[in-house]
Amino acid sequence: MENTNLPIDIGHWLLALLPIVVLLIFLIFLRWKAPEAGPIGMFVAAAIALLAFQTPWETLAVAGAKGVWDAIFILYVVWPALLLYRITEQAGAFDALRRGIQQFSRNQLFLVLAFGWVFASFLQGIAGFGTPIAVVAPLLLAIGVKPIYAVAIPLIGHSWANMFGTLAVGWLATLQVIDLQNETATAFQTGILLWIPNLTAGFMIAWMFGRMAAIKQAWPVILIISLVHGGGQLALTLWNPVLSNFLAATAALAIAYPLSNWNRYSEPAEGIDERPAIEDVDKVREEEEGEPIMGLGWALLPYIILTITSVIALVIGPVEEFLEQFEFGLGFPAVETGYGVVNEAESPYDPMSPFTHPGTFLLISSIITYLIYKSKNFYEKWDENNKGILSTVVSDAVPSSVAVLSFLVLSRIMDHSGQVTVLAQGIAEVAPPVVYAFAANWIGVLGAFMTSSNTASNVLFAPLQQQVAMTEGISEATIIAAQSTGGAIGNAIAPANVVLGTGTAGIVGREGEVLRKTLPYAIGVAILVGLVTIPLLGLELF
Amino acid sequence: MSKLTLLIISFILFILSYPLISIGTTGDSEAVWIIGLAALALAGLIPPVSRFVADDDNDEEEKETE
Repeated sequence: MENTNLPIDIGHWLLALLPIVVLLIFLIFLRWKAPEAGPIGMFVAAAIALLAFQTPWETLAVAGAKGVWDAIFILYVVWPALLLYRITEQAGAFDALRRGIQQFSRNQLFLVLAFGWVFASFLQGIAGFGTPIAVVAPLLLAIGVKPIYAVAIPLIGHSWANMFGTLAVGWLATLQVIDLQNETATAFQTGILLWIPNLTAGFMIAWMFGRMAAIKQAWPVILIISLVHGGGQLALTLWNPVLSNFLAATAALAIAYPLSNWNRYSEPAEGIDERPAIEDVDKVREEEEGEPIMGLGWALLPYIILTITSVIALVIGPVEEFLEQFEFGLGFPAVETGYGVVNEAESPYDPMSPFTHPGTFLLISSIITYLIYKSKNFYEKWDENNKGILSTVVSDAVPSSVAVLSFLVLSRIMDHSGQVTVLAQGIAEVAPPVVYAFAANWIGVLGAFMTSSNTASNVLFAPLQQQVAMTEGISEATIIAAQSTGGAIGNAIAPANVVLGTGTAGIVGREGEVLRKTLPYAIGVAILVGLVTIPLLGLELF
Repeated sequence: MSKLTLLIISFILFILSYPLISIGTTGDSEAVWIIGLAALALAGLIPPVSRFVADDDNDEEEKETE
């Protein structure tokens, strides 16, 4: 942790919190659209940086430009994901998918859990960068889930998989920024805590589907899947943390098919009268006249291609090593503030490896799918009056992109001006050890909320958390585990992630409504994780 | 001007600010990074302003049910 002269007092702490509070007020209470509310938060953060955190204009400029570059990593998922969505939707594939899947399994509750939790977690295990939300939201729409829930469900379903997902990029980044005394104990305790958001995600999704009646029907499958997800990941952290999430999420995907044949889940869910997440049945049926344009196999083609390309590029070591050689990015000089917050020069800053980025896999999947659907004349047969795919993608993607850009610029300004450090150190300074253990995961949540990245949250806060653990004489492994789990949970409420879903679900501007669904879940799970962190402090593991 | 057009301009300005600020700050060219910062500020200003001035802004979708 660098030495700074940052004033850690209540005035500066409240000022540092203001950009986030303003953003939430505009999004949730004033119901502004994300592309409009994001820049307001960005300007508030910049004004506070200039006026209260002694940030020079050049530092502000560098922070803003780094935020733009951080956003480009996410936008390279948004644009190809929207392209894939429009390519499949305008060929009639989503209609075929919905009707094909309903023949394959008639239990809508099971399908919502399978897509929103099991498949979303699998995608997070390999791809990450918001891919599960962008891809799963339209799939849930296709099976009759209301748009707000179609975004909220994968946000909740995928979040637990962020830390060890994308082949444990968050874990590897944590090892880069701090030297852990006991890596095995830290990974194992992280696995314990991550089981909480995993298990609660299953129950929360069932609750969203049909309240207690749905939970009564779904609890056996939730426990089985969570045992494979959370228990599998926990066990695998002892052997290989890098593969722990990928293997656990893949195993859960593999058992989804046999579970769908279980009598309890092969027939329509009975006795669930209240279904808040599901469209009016009559409305869905109105659209089901005639035969689907294609079979289920053709409709699933893009997702099969996406899975195959991701696995080949990211799981096979030599292929990944070869593809990772190609990277690009621009440099930035060292900058600092009047309070001594220094950011070293980087040339290039956080370079992008395009061939191992999930955006490329989505793009490949989009191109191949388009060519095949075109050769089968699906576009002409489904709707001759289709709007142009590319123009639709632009009108869908631009509002989401502006929102993501403003969120990430806000985040980098808060980071480079020291506002983030003041927020975290403020909590650390006033909290006694037990309270700090409870609060540690909330700092992780804050980091992920701002950056929409578990990795970025850990890079920002793991050094601080380690320092506080040493100062207070409490277990470093437990505190880092709590930070990492908070970083995962925060992905369920990160505005940039929400925008990914509202973009592909066609409800840009309704981000506040989605947040109203996911925020109570994230707060509840963070409280649970905090409560479990306290007894973990006393356990001598490994 | 339509809302989408304004947002496209904002998007382009956001993206343009990245190379301008990088080149300006690493090459000690103050004018270049100031132009980049101005582009970033303008990019951020356009979306909230478009809420009030765009020809086709409509919020009817927000009134839809879930």
